Amino acid sequence: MTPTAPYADALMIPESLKQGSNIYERHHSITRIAESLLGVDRSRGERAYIRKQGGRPAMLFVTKDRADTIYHPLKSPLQGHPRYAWVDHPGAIARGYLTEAARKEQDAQRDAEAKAHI
Amino acid sequence: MAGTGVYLNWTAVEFATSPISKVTSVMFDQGGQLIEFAGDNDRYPVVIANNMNSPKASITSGDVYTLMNIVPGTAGTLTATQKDGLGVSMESIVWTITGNAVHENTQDTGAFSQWASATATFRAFSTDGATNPLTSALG
Repeated sequence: MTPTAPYADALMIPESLKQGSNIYERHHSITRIAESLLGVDRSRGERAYIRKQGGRPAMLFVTKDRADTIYHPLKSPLQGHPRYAWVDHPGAIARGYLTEAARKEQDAQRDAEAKAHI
Repeated sequence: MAGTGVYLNWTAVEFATSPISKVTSVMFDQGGQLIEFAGDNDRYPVVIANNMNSPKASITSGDVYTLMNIVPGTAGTLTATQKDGLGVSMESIVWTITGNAVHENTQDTGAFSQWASATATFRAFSTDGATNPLTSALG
């Protein structure tokens, strides 16, 4: 896959890329990388939400939406299918781009949430 | 201003969009579990693996009424911000279990001549079975 979007929708970052001697420095080192690759705009309240996924090597799953998941939800007809097309990059950070099906599902969910608030 | 790297007190504690005030303690637990393997003549485990994790959380507050009013089994988003030691807001940590925190139980205790206090406990499930429901972000 050749990504055309300027920013990724999700990242898989090896925990080994953390730098620093305390939680603040280590968290910051990952947040710095993630915010630039995801296009996080803090002035709009956006954040890079980090989940420790474990594994070998241990990975961090990072997105701008804290409700995002790696696979389609178990309640979805597409359960178990990946929500992202992953592209590996130097430094072993994998960039994920939402698949068309995942984007449609996300849009439908946001529409439903918006209607629920009316 | 750089953060201190140490944290003090909590703010913006919410469950299912209801703010919880008078918070005296919050706990987020990764819920890591290990299983050990031993066989044949082994007398010690020869392999230890982390196969499952069951994240948990709890909130202790002086607002016992709010916590006691949460019905066990209620699911929602649980979020709490752990403040930087010197109050640098951008350096605080926002812990969240998005939509997948399930209220397990609340206990209200009040001893003679002491402030009443309630502790609500929560467990978390994963929407897809693979994604960790516990997230962190810098405030």
